[in-house]
Amino acid sequence: VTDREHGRRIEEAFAACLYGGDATGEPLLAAVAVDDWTEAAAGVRWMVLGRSHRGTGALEAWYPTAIAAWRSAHPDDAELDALAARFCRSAACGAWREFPASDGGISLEEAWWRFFQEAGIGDPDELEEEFLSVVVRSLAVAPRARFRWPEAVRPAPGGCFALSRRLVLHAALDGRYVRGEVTPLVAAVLRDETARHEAGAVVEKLRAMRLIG
Amino acid sequence: VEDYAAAWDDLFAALPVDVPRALHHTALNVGALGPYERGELLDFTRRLCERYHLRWVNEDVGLWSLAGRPVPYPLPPLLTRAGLEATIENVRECQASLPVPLVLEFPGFAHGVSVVVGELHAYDFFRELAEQTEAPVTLDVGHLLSWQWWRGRRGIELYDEIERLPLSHCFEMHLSGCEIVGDRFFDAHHGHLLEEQFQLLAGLLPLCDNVRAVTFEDPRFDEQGTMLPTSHASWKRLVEMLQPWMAP
Repeated sequence: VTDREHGRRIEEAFAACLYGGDATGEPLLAAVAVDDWTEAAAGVRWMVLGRSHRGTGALEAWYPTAIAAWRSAHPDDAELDALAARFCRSAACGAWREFPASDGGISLEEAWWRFFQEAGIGDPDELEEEFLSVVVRSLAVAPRARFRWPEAVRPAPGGCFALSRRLVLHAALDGRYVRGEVTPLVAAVLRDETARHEAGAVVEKLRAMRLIG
Repeated sequence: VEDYAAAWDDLFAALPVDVPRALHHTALNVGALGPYERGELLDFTRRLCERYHLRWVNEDVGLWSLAGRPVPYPLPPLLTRAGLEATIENVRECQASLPVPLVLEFPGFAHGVSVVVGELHAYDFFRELAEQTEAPVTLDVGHLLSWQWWRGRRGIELYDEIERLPLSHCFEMHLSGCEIVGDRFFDAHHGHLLEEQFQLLAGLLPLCDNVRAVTFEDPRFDEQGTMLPTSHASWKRLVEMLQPWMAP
């Protein structure tokens, strides 16, 4: 084990403590007072709740129905601290990265979506619409954002798009966010190139919008 | 760089041309213990330096992320021999890639946010880092106080041990609004300086022969661009204190 690999393990253990784990596995970290970890972990929860992104805002704006569902079920958690504590300990949160040296991480928006899904918080269809909306809007504002794109988001000549189960199109096209229900034919053309030969007029329209090439 | 150029161009157009310009970085992560890929980041920084004629790059010596995971406030480096050796290596990598000096800033220690790991005295860690890397340093006066406060020092003890700092390496001093609430010291960044910051600054200035810049980091302004009274009082006192030290 090289010094850097050992260092990575210490950093991972350090991060796990800050995100709500315990320090017993790493002697260096176990020497830190429990109160210090408790307070620092509160700071991390405050950070994940308050993180705000240009053009889309923060958690309560991203997932209003999921937050409403949580509040309805947990009226004693008005500040969402208990929600944040569960999120911070989740595998979904562990996949979130946002630094230039950490390619391959998912966005905070996707981490919350995965967490809500896994925890069964909110209506799945509403959640999907909110998730696709916030991710695509963020890509409309910052097309070169470094997070890993969700599987549902596909590149387009004008930017990117995603289709929900309800056949709602969310697209970022040349800096604009476009949203609306589409027909099954349009959905088929967007999802599958082989469907294009039977839909000439639709294909032309979508090409003009720079949704397909 | 192109993503930033419009905003930066506007900002620099508003500044007098003879004002020295520097960059306060927040992502070099020189306290990292594990691998941290800086190639693109250093290239980006170099292009900013060249485009805007930046004179130096300043960075808090600390952990700005942990194995890629975000933290709410830069954490102090691990105050261990291994932590020091990793930091020295990281600083040398950055120095080799930047076209201007990397000025190392003493980090902040805040109860409720920081977690201090290791047994080394932070002043000793910082001095050895500066000596081994031959780097100029920034002494953030609030950060120095926060370290002594963390250690339980109070009153005049807050100003002790400054001889353990790399004083001859000091190129810049930072002052930002701090606050003491109850038994907590806060690096509040609200533009109002504490009496203790002026006292420590007064003690440091005669000992730092190579200091070239003193920066008030966070004065507050209203929407018309007028400095708010709380910040103005700090600014006025700071200018008066620095008058004997200013170049003619």
